[in-house]
Amino acid sequence: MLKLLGATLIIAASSFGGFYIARLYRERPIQLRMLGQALRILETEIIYGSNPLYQAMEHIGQRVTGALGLIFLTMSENLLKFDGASTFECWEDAINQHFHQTSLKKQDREILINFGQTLGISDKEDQMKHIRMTIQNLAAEESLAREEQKTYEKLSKNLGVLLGMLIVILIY
Amino acid sequence: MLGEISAILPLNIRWIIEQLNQEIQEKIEEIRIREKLPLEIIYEDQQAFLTPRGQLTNNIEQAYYPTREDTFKLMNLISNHSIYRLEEELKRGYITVKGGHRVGIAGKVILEKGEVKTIRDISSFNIRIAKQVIGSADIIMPYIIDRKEKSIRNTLIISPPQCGKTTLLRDVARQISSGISKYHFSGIKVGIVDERSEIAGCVRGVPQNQVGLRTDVLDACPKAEGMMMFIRSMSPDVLIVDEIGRKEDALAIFEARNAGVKVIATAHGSNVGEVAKRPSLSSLIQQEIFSRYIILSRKRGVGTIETVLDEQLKPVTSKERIYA
Repeated sequence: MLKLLGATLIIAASSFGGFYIARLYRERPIQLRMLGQALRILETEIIYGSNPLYQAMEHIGQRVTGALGLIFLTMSENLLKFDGASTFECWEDAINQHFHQTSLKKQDREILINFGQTLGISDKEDQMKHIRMTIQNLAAEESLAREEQKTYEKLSKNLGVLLGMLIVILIY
Repeated sequence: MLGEISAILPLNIRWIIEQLNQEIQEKIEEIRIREKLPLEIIYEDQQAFLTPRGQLTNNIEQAYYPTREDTFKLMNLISNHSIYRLEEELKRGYITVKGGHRVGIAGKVILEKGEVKTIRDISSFNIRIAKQVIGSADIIMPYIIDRKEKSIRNTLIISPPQCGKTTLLRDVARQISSGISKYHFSGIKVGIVDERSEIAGCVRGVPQNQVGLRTDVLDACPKAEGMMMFIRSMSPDVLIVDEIGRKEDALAIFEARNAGVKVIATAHGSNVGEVAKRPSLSSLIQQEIFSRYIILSRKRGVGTIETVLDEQLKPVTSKERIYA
């Protein structure tokens, strides 16, 4: 009886792990797309709205859900709250606080960090260039992420369950 | 007062300035920050470099040298992290920050069709601390106010540079706009054409200096055009302009007189003769547009009143002075 319970637990844990990894594969392209949308909002805020950065960030944060939105909201707070810090320091801090809550990968983080180094420090034309470039980079990552999703989402789920079963069989 | 300045300084430069003794801090006129050159302050016509420990020095080896990171951060802070909002300011070469202080900038200039489009790679900053002296115009108000007409007189303030001309003009604006109870003078509508953003020190169109309760400001507007715009649309009682000198300025002042609008202006010079020599302004003097000329000097400190003349360039009798 106890053995049966143990076996169930092992299979459940392993399946959960598989489903978790599958979820990352599923969510990453969605979040990359959301990020692209967020930057498009930023472009409008900067080019047409001429709004100060903290306000632009707040507006984005209100429209983007989940951990991604939190990055922008935290950035907005940092810009107002941090005394004597550069724009990039505020951005880096916001990323450090919330990036791990997203399903994004290391290379996506690189794109965001690079983008932060240009944020708010030049005229409109230059800002537009950097925003557009970042949007394109994110779009490239997104199509790769979709490929990966196709290949690995189901695989991870199945592998999780199967791995659990394998362990149970080996233990018996 | 330094609080507003502190807010735009990167932490290490802020710390250095805050180490100076209070007396010097109060007297600072300019803070000059240049990348990889000694940090400098100007106070009471003196200059001094600052050490990393916040002491005054003349030895350049002991001075603090602002780094690229410092100037970069300074720009972030001045622009409130949004340089893209400062396109007009970058074209003009200075940014007015909260409190009416002006930050002059220099760096690489980008041209477009032969005109300055923007400044990039900004490496030099001159933070000029605005000092408004409330009440600095007290002694000249009796000459400006016409008690019989319950109005004010067309006045030209003549002064060499650095004699407190703009400070005085700002306080004149404040007093005639808000009213002066001492002379039973209720305020009248004032229009300030602030071409160099020095009188009102506007940030996003809102005056940072006290320029009175009934004052409208055209910020960064060419003087002659601004005066015409005011006359056409804002029905001011008085126009206030700094440093008139061009032919168009004189024409606009004639126009103001025809419209029944009074003018208070300033001009560079150390006496009326010098101003009268300038062809653009001589017609104004010949036609007796101004009823009062107030001539400033630095003899007994900034803002000393040298003489006051009437429309025929005769010294004003002491009768008016009694009111003061």
